[in-house]
Amino acid sequence: MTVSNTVDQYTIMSGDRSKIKDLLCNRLTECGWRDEVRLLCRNILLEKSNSSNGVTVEQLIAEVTPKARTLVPDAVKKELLMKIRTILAENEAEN
Amino acid sequence: MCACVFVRVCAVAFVCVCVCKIRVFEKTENSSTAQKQSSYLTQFVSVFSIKVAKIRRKQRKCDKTNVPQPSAKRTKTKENSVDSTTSILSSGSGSSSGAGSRASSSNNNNKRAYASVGRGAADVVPEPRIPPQAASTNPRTAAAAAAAAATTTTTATTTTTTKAAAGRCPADETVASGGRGGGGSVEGAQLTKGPLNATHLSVPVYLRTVQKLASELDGNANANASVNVNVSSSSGSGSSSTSSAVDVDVNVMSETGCRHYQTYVKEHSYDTFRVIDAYFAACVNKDARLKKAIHCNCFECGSYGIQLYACLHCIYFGCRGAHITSHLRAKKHNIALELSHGTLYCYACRDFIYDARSREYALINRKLEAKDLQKSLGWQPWIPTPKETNLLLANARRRLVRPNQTIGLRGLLNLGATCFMNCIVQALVHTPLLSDYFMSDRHDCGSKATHKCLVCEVSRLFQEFYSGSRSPLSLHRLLHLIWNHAKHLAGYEQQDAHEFFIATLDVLHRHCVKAKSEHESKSNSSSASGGNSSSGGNATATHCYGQCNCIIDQIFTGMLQSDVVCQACNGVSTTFDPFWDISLDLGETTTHGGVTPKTLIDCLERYTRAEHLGSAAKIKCSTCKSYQESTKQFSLRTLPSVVSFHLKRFEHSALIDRKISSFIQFPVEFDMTPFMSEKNNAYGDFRFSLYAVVNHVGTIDTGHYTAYVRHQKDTWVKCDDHVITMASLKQVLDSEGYLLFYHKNVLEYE
Repeated sequence: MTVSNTVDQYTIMSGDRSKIKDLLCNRLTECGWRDEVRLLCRNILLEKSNSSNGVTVEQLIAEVTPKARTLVPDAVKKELLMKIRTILAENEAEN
Repeated sequence: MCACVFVRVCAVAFVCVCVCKIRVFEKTENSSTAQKQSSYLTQFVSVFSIKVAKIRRKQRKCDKTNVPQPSAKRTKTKENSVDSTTSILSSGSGSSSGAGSRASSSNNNNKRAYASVGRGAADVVPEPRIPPQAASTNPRTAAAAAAAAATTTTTATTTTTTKAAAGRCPADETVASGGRGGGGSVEGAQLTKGPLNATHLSVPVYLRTVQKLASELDGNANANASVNVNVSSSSGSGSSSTSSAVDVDVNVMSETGCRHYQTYVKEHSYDTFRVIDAYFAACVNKDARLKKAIHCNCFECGSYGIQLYACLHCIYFGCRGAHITSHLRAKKHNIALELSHGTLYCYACRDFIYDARSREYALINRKLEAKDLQKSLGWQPWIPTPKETNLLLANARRRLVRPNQTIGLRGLLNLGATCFMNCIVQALVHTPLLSDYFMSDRHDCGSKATHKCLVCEVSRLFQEFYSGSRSPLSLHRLLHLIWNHAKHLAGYEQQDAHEFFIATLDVLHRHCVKAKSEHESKSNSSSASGGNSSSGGNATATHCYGQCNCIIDQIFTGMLQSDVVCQACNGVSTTFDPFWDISLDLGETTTHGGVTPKTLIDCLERYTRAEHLGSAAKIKCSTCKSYQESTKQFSLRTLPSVVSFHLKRFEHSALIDRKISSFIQFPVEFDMTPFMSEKNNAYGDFRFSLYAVVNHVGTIDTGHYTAYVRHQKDTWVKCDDHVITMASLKQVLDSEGYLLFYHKNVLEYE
């Protein structure tokens, strides 16, 4: 927890967090993950729309999140992990 | 590990955005005047000084309970933090000249210590956090003192008043410079965390910063400032036109937007949103990033969780789920800002909400962030321009692509022994990356004579294929262009499909390069200000291994590595050659006992096997400086996104010309890793899938070409000139195979 907090703080402060976030967004869009998740959401909405009170965002998130997580390609995870590692290594080298 | 978690959590965050995008609506708001601005500002100073006073009391409470000093966790930073904290944050460092040294010496057991601080602070929080209405009876003096503190911090040079203020709260978090902290490295900064101090969030001060930055941006980019102008003229907020609807109690976001947010804006204006977004969601400058890194953590659990929400009614950060919702419920606050994506959440609606003006402010903040970090703007939701809207309205008919639909399939008329062209065109049209390129209209033809441009013709061809029409297409224009550009293919004779394929790629490639250079020279000469973008394009074009960056090279060009090993000294000389396809021998091997290859993999193994060049072909070795016998071995350095294999079925030798019709088994999916030069590349994913097969029926002199193409996943069709029939995968795999087209499964990024 402490380590991840430090990493969080460092990456936020250096501005790398925002770059990593952009990279992740791009990768997820490019690999079709976004479309898959959109489809997933759409299907859930179609399924549930018949029920009397519809779907709330919370319900939708709760239902989609586990599936969406498994859909993230390993290549994307690997690339991001390497990226973060490089950033931290650079930080180490500079000090 | 943490990175993995980050990925996963970000994925969740992304889900949220996707969810938000499902409900898209547009809201326009034109009602506000600049005159209101000043009055709103003053109102805000008072509102926030009340808040400041509240926090003050909380601090005093902290003082009494004598919470232990939170121990510092050291995070090294590049910049000396003294400069970056000269503004409001220096209030904290005033007390830290003494406390900082303590903090730095007690690096251990920080987790425990912090946890207790967090808990202690959390316990304290509820009592002084009275709703603003109740707090309005606060003593004027406290408010005045806070206001004074705010103004001194703008000058940021004297810390006397702020020091006194900060001294009251030993639990106050701080960024202490390494020098002051004592014993730390000069360039190091210590980050401790804790509840947010009121002096850290004096909105008017920050609002000025944000507005200043925004106006600077405005000045820099007044070309596309339509949004900015719109915003700056209306920064006073105000939504009088919607006020009548506010009282209606609706729990769901209406067509015109969230009523709760409109009420909120009426009461509080956009300033809080603007500042919170600029500092904690988009981080417009170094100071903002520093503040976010230090303060932006959950008030409940202290985590820097990826999905933090900031309450827009008071100073509160909380994790997604229970933490923020319990706060919103308890305080009867409605509006919160999701900080990783800057989306607004309304607790009353239980939903993410949209607001046109907020979105404009957020866009400015994103632009500022991008400018500050020198990065691109990042993903933005697509909002159609007026031109696009008109186009969409003009072409109201939409096409829904379902399984078993024939859109994208069209027969091609045989114009007299042009089946060699038809089958290649079918294969090219069904190349996903190529269709992506042409369907998104990315070819920007430099020359005015578009009827002479082959790329334009291919572009038009894609439109025709996906037009939905089912009648066969005549390729006479394409044929004519090819004839003009590749003279050896001209005439009505039967041609080799492979030769045509390579010639087509070559002509397309030449056209792309020409169009690009013409386009660039034109844009360079026409506008001096446009120099930025074109020079950027140049940089990327020359970037990759000396080859150009045209769509053909991007998709079809790979790099072949050939290693010549000298038998005398074992010195290796390596050369690289670009390739568009891989031609594979099918005849008997001469060296390994006359084995004929049976599968595509056999052929590839043979292709990449070390070959002894023999005594007749001695090569001068660069290390021995003499002619030596050597071996030569091919391997694949880089693979293109589309690999095409050419099975050399037509054998032309001195003795006999013949067609080799032996069956070569080829897989639907296969991994090219064994044939790569660097096999243990951690990143590489070299799995490929079959998507088109061109077959030849007949003899070496005369015959007919047909093509199998993958139309949709697991749906194959056979294209025989103008006749298109469904085909099974078995039929495809049982066919003879002349040209095999494989598409990369996982595309890499640059």
